[in-house]
Amino acid sequence: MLGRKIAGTCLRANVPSVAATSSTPATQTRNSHTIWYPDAKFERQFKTGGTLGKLWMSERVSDFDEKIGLDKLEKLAYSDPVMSDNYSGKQREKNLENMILNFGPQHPAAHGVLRLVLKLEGEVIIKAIPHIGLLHRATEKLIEHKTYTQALPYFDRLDYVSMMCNEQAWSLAVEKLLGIDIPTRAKYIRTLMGELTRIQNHIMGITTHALDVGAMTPFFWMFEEREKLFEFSERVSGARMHANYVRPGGVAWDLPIGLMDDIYDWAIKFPERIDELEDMLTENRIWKARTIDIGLVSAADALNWGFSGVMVRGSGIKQDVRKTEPYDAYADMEFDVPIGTKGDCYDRYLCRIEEMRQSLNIVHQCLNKMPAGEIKVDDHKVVPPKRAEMKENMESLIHHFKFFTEGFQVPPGATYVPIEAPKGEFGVYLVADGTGKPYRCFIRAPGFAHLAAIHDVCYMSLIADIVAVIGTMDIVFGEVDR
Amino acid sequence: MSLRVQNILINSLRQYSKQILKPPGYASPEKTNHLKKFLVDKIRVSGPITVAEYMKTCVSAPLVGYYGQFSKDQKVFGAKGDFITSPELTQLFGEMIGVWVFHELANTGHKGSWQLVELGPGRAQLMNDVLNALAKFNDKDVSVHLVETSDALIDEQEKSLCIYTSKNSIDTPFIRKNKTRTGVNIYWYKSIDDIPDGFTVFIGNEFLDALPIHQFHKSGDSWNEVYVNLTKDGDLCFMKSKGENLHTKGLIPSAIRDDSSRVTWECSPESGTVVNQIVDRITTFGGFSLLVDYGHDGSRNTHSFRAYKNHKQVDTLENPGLADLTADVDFGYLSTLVKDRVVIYGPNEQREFLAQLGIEHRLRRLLQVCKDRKQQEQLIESYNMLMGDMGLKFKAWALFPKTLEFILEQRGGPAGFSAKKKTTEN
Repeated sequence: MLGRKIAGTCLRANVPSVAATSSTPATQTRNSHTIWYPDAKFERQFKTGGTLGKLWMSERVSDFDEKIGLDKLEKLAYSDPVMSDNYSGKQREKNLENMILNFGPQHPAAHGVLRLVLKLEGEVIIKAIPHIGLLHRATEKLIEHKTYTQALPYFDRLDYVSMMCNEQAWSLAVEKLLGIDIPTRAKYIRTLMGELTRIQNHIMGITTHALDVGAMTPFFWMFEEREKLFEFSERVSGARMHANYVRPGGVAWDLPIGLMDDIYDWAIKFPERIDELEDMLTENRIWKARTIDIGLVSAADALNWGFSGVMVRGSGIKQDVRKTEPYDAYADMEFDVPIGTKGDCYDRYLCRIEEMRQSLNIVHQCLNKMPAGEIKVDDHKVVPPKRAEMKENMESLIHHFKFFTEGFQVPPGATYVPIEAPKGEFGVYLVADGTGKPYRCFIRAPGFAHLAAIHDVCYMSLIADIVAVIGTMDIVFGEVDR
Repeated sequence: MSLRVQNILINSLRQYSKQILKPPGYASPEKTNHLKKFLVDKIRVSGPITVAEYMKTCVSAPLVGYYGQFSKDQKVFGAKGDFITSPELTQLFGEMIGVWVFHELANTGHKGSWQLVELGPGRAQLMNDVLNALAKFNDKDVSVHLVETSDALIDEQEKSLCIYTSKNSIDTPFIRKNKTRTGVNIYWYKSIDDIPDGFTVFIGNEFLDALPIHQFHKSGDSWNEVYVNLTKDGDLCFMKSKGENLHTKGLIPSAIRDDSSRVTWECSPESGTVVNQIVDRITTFGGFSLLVDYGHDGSRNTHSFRAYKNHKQVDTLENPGLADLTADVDFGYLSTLVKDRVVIYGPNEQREFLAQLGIEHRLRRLLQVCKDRKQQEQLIESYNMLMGDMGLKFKAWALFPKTLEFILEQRGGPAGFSAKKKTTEN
């Protein structure tokens, strides 16, 4: 029927002839050897629902066709089963394609550079494919070409909302290979800063999660507190975010005078801020509607998928590296580990709130028990001498010079050191070959395992829920892409 | 006197002697043809020649070769000539090819200019019919490119396709340029390589069968090549090589060697080259090709080298340059060369190919239009020939780029090849 249109109305009819002019030489340049592909739009007709027999007719609609209504007939033909081309009357099955939705990387709820390709059945997600690597900087490879001291700032930039925890993991790994134990004061300072970092991370995690599902106020309120925490970071290290403070062998500098008082002042007021946050969210109908029974993760699944941190605790498994493998001063601390019951987004939100309260508890304990003493090991092969010493003492000057040019040698060996980062188990697997630079460094980022399971968590959920799940997973691309 | 010195003496005698030495069996120039004399001399000087070389010399030697003689007495093709081709027989064939080309072109989704290339256009009867068919579709983007080596045939083709004649041009990739009756630009080339880049459709009817072949024969465990040599009387005759040579080792694939039932094999490396050139083009710049030829799918186990004179089969060595030398095209062998790069359809019998394209509808229409009783009878007669004897012997063989495989699969193969996909690969 449509086949009769052949005469005069061909796909190529009115395209101006570029003419296969013989003036163009038949020679090819070296790189011009590519493969010819059929027109993508044309090919697509064959992949989706088709027309009657003559598929190629569909792109040609002339005035005449419109007047006699051929274009409408064609649309009708699209919805019909495809007839086989040899007119034997057999009806070919029609391929239906689900809608593919690109979520991100520009989407504000994608938390950075997540490109999530969603296959939809209506509004229901039947496949969620995360595309990562847009923030890949080859950190692990770069570290192989840096001294142990130079490698440290890379860790600030991995999970860039929990900087000092990452530094802690690296420092602990190096210390373990060196076989050194750091002064107690350094351990307490690390614990203190680590817990402040955890609070800061949870502020970010919870409030942006709330922002994504529609609650803007907590974000503004709590970011004021986050600013204060950045100020503490600035006072202790000179940098608001990328502190470079926790170093192998201790911490870079001692706490400035008055900082602990100010932290105390802040810490006695902060529970009120948490209460305000909870007032806004915990019993909020919308918040509950958007989080309860959303992103359910069973305990078995959480373990099978390699979840850690709140993602596994929210499902009811009590697992915390600070308890199971206490590092720094956590063995001396008294704190509870909150766990969820159902494993949905709401449980994980409650866990994070409670973790902030427990962190404050630890902060208070650190402030109260803070011992006096050194903040670095007394081995100038591993840590640089104090600046004043360096100015007066020849030996210290040499140590200082050697430390910042050659670095220090780490005895050959391999180790894996995990810490309880705010997002989960952040681990550093480090292989040393006895030189001043690591042979291999692998970083176990909790967000990577969480993101990998996003299809399983979000299967058959709505598009709006994937936003909630990304929020609850607290994904940061600095550590996922590395 | 040592043998060596004797040889030198004879050679120097030859060099300086004015008198032509007449070897035994040498006939006077008037009675024999020049090509045969050339071949006899050549063999006498440098030893036996391969069948391929013999065939190549006979077919394409300038002036004295088979197609080179075309201008002298126009008797190569057609009823008056030595053999008749399908397009010479009836316009139906060319029209069907034209429709097929247009239909398949539309089904590649290509837009813009494209080139129609015919290999070995003969008297251009096929191209004439194809262009007439294309003119019905009002296609403005086509340009025609003919690959022809014989100048005499180029003149003939121009006469049949164009209104005015033109001269050969220099310093251009093409050797001649003109406009056809239907207003399409037409170019002539000596080789496929000269054709400009771009989306290209290749057609060829009875082209590959005229390309030289090597003949091989198995005796015992070893393969020998067939040579052309001289008898004691100075006549041409076939002989077997003493043992394996470069061609047997280089050309015979292991599948043929391992096949114990095989005693003979023919191979045309030049056809392989042509097909490779086609494939390179259609994969790089897009396009497809349709070759119709006398051939088989690689199963033939006998020699097929033969000669035609006045529509009768004659001895291949009797009148070199005066009879048409031809051999079956081994589509199976050609398929193995390119199957990794293109989708291959066929070889499919010509009658089936034409029947699927609906040739009988076209015939019926022509019969309605045609009022003359005699012409009608002629039409039916040629149709019967096209679909009968010739239809069984001739095979259609189509190549498409691998990138079109999915579309072709969805369509159930190109027109004329349905349910016959890749029979050669089984």
